[in-house]
This record gives sequence, structure tokens and C-alpha cells, in this order.
Amino acid sequence: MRKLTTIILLIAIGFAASHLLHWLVGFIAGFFVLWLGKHGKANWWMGLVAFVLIWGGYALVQNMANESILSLQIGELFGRVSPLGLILLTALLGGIGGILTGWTASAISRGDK
Amino acid sequence: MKKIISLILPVLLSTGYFIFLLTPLQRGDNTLPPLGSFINPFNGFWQNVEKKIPFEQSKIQIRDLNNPVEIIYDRRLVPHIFAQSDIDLAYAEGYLHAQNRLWQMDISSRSAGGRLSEVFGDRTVENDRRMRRMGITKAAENLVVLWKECPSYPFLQAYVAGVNHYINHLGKKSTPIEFKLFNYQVEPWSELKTALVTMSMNLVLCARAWDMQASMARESMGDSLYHLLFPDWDPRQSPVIPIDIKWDFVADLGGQTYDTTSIGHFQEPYQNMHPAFVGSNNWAVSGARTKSGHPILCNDPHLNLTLPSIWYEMHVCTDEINAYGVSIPGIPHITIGFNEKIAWGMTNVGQDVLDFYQIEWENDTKDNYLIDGRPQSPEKRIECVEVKGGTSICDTIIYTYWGPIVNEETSAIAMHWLPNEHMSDCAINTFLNLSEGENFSDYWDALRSFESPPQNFVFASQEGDIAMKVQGKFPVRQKNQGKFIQSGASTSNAWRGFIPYEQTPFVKNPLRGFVSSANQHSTDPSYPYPYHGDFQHYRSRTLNSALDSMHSIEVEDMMNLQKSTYNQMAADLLPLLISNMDSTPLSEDQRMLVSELSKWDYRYNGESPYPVFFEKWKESLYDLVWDEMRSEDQEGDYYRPRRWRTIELLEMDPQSPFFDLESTEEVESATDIVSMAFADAYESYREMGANLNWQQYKNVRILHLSRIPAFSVDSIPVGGAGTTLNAITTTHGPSWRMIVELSNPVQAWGIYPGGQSGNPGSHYYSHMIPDWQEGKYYPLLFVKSPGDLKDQQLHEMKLIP
Repeated sequence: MRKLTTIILLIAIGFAASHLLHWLVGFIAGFFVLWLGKHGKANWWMGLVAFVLIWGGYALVQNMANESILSLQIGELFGRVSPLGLILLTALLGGIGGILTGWTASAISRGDK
Repeated sequence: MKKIISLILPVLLSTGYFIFLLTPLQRGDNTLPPLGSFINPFNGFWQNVEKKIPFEQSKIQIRDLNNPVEIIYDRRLVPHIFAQSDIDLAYAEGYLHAQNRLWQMDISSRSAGGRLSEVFGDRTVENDRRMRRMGITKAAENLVVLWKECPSYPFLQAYVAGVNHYINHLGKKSTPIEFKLFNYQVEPWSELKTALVTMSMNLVLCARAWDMQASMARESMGDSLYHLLFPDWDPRQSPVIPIDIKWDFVADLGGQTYDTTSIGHFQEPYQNMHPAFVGSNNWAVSGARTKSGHPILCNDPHLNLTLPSIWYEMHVCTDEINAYGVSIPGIPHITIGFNEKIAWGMTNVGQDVLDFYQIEWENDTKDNYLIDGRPQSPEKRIECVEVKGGTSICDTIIYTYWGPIVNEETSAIAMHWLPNEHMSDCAINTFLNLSEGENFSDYWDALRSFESPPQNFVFASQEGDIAMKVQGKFPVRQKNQGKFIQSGASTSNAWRGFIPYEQTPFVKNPLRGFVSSANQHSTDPSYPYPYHGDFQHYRSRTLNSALDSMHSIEVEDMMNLQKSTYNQMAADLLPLLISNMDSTPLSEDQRMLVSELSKWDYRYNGESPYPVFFEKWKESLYDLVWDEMRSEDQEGDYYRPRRWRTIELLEMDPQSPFFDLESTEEVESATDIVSMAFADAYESYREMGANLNWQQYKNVRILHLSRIPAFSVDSIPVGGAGTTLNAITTTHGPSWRMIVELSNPVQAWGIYPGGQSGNPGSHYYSHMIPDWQEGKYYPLLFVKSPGDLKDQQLHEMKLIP
């Protein structure tokens, strides 16, 4: 239950910080949420899930509103990647950032001890 | 140690990953944007996706406005702007241009100003250096100084402020996608940038020249042969001003004759930046010829078809103005359009307003040059091209009495170009005054301030007048002066002033009941002022012949005429080819092909295979006839006689020695050459596949301004050709089709191949192309108040002071 709460908090704060400030700040905010949450190695997958949802989910919503007009064109720039592929790529980039954020948070938490 | 590594490793990896996401990537010669900045969904490209209604805000606070401005976007995203003053209107125009076409405006001004390399790196350096050498930025700076004296300058200031208001409130999220993709920042707009966009139109429309090629051709063949092969006047043509118009003035050409000495050979002659078939059609028929009894005005400017489109459609309404038409993003006001009383349109004139002069240096130090025997010190200006990812490249541009030196390979050649040297232009007045005009007299007064690029201005009014004025600042020259490179050592070779406004070619309400232009000669040779230029004759012959035969004209007839694919050149040449060829050695398939061609109606319809074969045959014949004048580049037209002259020779002088091939010992006749060209064309046609039709062969494409294929539209199935009224070539064509009936109220129809939005992620980026391709027109919603648009409204936006 505490992990679920942390993930929800992570998504809310990560999204708000990325949206209102800068996408990089979203990861920094995420780091603090995970660091303070002290979930140990679970920080890895929590970071992954949260940032896949933040990046991939937001991209999905944007794409649906636009009926894939732009993602089809951008996909062509990336070597004929489909709109879904582009959403997955976005989610992947966010997810890797989330894993690394979680990993760093758990490493520093361990260091605190 | 293990503990330290487990602490440092994730920190290092995280740092490395985020640095990677923030670093521009190098792929071949291209620099790609940082992956994180471009792909993140918060301010990367995902923020450029647009919903069906692209605008989020419906009320925008703008303190600079005097009164509220109401903007209704209709279902094609055409803004209908309702302002209470012309100043507020200009401000809103600037705001909307920026909102919908900001990147296009930026790149157009960079292109003319020689600043593309700041965005695209090495690959545009030569283009930028060329723009700098041509003195475009200096000319634009001069233009801004001139505009400050124009009555409409405050509107320009308001327009620039409107653009900058949008830019200043533009977040990173809404920055046009091209800025993100090419990873550079939006800059403030300025009057200079508007002047540069104006200069870019001059570059497209009046910077074509072939003086160096003509000089070389004359040098190699001699004066009399040159004039035999390159005559000015095609006797079959139908000029803009009907030949029954008599001129009631005598031209003052200046007493002193110019120096006609033949000059030089050039290894790198001036290359034109734009192809020959940048042309347009416009015409107006009087009420006596229409079914409704009201004049009808039509215009379709043929320009480079691009995405975003060159045009931005809008309807502007104030207490003084109610006008509709298309504008050029970066320049205020409607360029081609109509209001409640009048309509106007333009085609390019094509008269030569660009000459070259050979500079004579005083000595080898090249510090001074000579004019009338006296040394003159040139002005020097250092121009540096900043190159993205590279080092700046600086050139010293040398300005002489004649203009900037553009060629120094064998001798210094200065370029003397109307927009650079002689402008006193207030063209920004012209379009505001036309928008406010009510009758012929207002049209006449409005054109007075328009100088360059010279245009054929067509006019029609609700009062029943129709008119055509060939308008521009035309140099007075003696016959043939300016066709070839001239000596720059004597002022006797200079232009002798300019043709007075009242004496530029003009016609009002001619007996034939219509006025028209399609880039042909302005007048017949009886016009008192000599002129020469780049003229096209086939479309005007089709147009005038069709209009001559039409009565009880309806709007649909005019639409069909704009879309006519009848090719007069094919009608002139094909019967000659068939009658001149030797059919004895033809195979059964070849005979069948000739038989089918002989029944062809000369229409360049997209599905027809005949234009493909005819074009092959024509071009093969052209290469064989003019084998003596081989050309490896696209400027071959100017090393070699025009196609109409080739057809004339085939018809009038089939025994001409030009039909003999230089490379063979035998003496070939016209029949031999026509038959050889047929065999060549047949072979090439068979290799391409016999099922290839004209639209597949032509492969019309509308490219994004940065040539990104993903943002372009390819393989558009349409017919037409450069010499048909529906003048669609692979990359050029009718960039705006407009038909206006001057009834009460005025009714109009129009379409352009693109969309109102410059954002590739918008539903309105290229949405009109399928309808344009099918030849459809949209009724233009010309209303008097916002309430009249209720059924057509997509979005309402208010600009509030």
C-alpha cells in the first residue's frame, strides 16, 4: 500500500514538475520522492513504472488528440517508426531515466545508513 | 570500496544519461536536436500536436491595442479579423501570421538575408554567401529607411509589434517544431525582416538574367546570327496590351548611344535561382461578356509550391476596410484579393530589370575603378556568414557605382538590379490602398507607389470597369541595351531614367471585353520604349483565344479555364513533327503510336500517356537541332534559342543548316532530325514502361521549405504543364486560384495547395491539397460582421487591450 502511495505521489510530483518547470526537474523531484520513501531496491521498478507512465502516457494522450498526424511524420524522420513505436520510444527514454533515478535514490539511501 | 562504487556508479550513469539526452546528436552531416529536448512530452515535439481546434485561448490581453479585435476562425482556419482601426488590424495581422507561420517567416527572411547556415550548417553556406554578394541585406536596410517616409509606415510598425507580441509570449512548448528540430531559438521580428521577405519575392520574380550567357553566345556566333536565332518577338503571340491600342507619346531614350562592344567569356556565368516557369495567369472579363452582367476577375499565381504555402488567406474588416484575399507571411496586408467594390490580382511582368557591368580597375591593386576616366573608390562592407557547428566565413563585398561585384573569376562584374539600386518604394501603401479602394481611380492611385517586382495588375470593379496595368519601375534603355554585359567604365551605358507612371503599358475597358496576362510580352513592338525580358507566349495564346470565343460567361467557365490543360505548344509542334517525319521505317507499334498521337487533343491530362511521349520527342528534337550549342546545365534555354523559335524554324525553314548534326559527315535534313528524335523518344518511352502516364511521369510534389520529406507531400496526381493554363510542373503551379464576381454583394471562390497552419502536426497543414488536386474551389466567406459566420465558426478569439 505504501509503495502504491509512493508511485502515485511520484507520478503526480514528477508530472507536475516536468510540466510546470522542466522535464529534467521532473526526474530530480522523482529522486527526492523515492529517496524520502526509502523503498530500497524497489525504487528501481517504481521509478521505471512512474516515468514510463508519465512520459509514455502523456505522449499517448497527445497522440490521440491529434489522430497521429504528427507522430506519423516524426516517425518517418526516425526511420519509419510507427506512432505506437514513437510512444514506446518516448516511454522507454522516460523509463530509463526513472530506473536511473530510482537506482540513484536507493544508492544514496544506502549511503545514508 | 564496493560501497563507494555502488554509490558512485548510479550517480555517474544517471549524469551520463541525462547529459546524453541534452546533447545534440551528429548523424552524417546533419546535427540532430538533443533527444531529450526533442522527444520529452512536456516541451518537445509532442507539444506540437494540434487538436481539431488548435487554439486553447479565446481571450488574449494585448495592451498595445487601442480597441478589442475579434477574430473568428472559420472551418478552414481562415481568420476573419474584425478591428476598429487599421492600426489594430495591422497588429492583429502580425499576431496571426506569427501564430500560424512563424517558422516560415523566420526562414524566408534568413534565406534572403544569407543567414540559413546559422540553422542548416555547411550545406547552405554558398547560398548565403551569394545572397551577401548580391547585397540583399543592404538593399533591405535601404528599403526600411524608405518605408519610414511612407504614409503606411505606422501600420508596418503595428504589424511588427503584433508579431513580436506573439513571440514574446511564446513558451517553449508552442515553439514551432522546426525550431526544435533544427535546435535554434526564435528571434524578435523587425522591419528589416519584413524588408528581407519583400526582397525574397524580388529574388523569385525579377532576378532572372542571362546577360553572361547571351554575351558568350553573341561572342561565339556574331551579332547577326545571334539576333537571327534569338529574336525578341514571336509573331504569333498575343501581348498583354491588345495590339490595337495606340501609344500617344514619344519615348525619350536619351541622346547618347551606349557602348555595344562585345564583352568576354565567363567560366561561371550568373546562375538563375528560380526556374523559367515561375509565371501566372490573370484576367478580367467585362459585364458585357458575362451571364450575370457583372465583371469577373480571375488570378492564379504560379509559384514554387511549398509547405507551408507561400500564401496565408485572411479576411480583414474595419470601419474603412472590408477585404478578403491572400497575404504573404512576414508582410502586412492582403496582396491579392477583393473588397466590397473592387478586385485585383497580379502576374509577373518578366521585363529585364537586372544588368551586369564589367568593372575596369585603375590598376592591379584594385583599390579604385574607373568611371568616365576618373578613379572611384568602391565602398567595402564585410559580411560574415555564421555557420552552425563551424567557423564563420567572411567576405568583403565591394559596392561600385553600378552595384555589388558578384563575379570576379576572370573580370569583376557588378550587378545592377532594380530592387538594389533604384527603389523609392512604398509598396506597403499599395496593398493597404487597394484594400480600401472603391473604384478605378483608387486602383490607379494605389499602384503609383508600387515599383518592384514589376507586376501585371488586373482590376475589376462593381462599377463595371476592367483594367490591366503593367506596373513597376522600368528602366529606360536603348534597343538591346542590357541584354549583354556592358562596360562599367562609362556612364553612357547607364539606364536613362525610368518610364513615367503614365507611360507604362496600360489598358482600361478594351473593346474586346477582357483584359488578360500570362507572363507574355507586355506590348507589341510599337510600344515606344524598347524592352526585353523573360516572356512566355503559349499560355497567353490559349487564354486570349478562349476568352475571345466566350460569351455569357459564368463562374464555372472561368474555373474550367483556370484548370485548362490544353497545350498550345503541342498544338503548334506535333502536326509539324508528324508531317516532317519519315514513316517508312516505323514498326507497327510505332505507327499505331503516331496514329494515336495525331488524334490527341493536346490536353495534358494526368491520366494521358501522350504528353509523356510528346515531351520526350520535343526535348530530343531540341537537343538534336541545337547540338552546336551544347549546355550541361538548366540554363540551356539561354545558350540555345527558345522553343518557339525552334518550332518556327521547323515550320518556316526546314532546310536550315541548324538541322544538320555537327557530329556526322552526312548532311541531315529536318526530316532526318525529326525521325531520329522520334526513335530516341520511342526508345526512352519504352524503357520507362508504356503504361506511364503524365501525372506519374511528372510526379508533382509539394516540399516542406526545409526539404524534410516527412513534412512534404509527394506524387500528387495532377495534369497540366508549364505551357498550359493549369501550369503545374513538378514543383511549381497555381499557388492560389481565385475567382471574383463583382456582383452586389461580391461573390468569390478560391483555393490553394496547402493549409492555413504552418505546423506539420496540424489538421490544417496540408488539408486543402486533395481538393486543389481535384480542381475544387471553396466559396470565400466574405461577410460584414462576426454574426454572419455563426454556422461556419471553428473558434473565436478576442484580442483585448
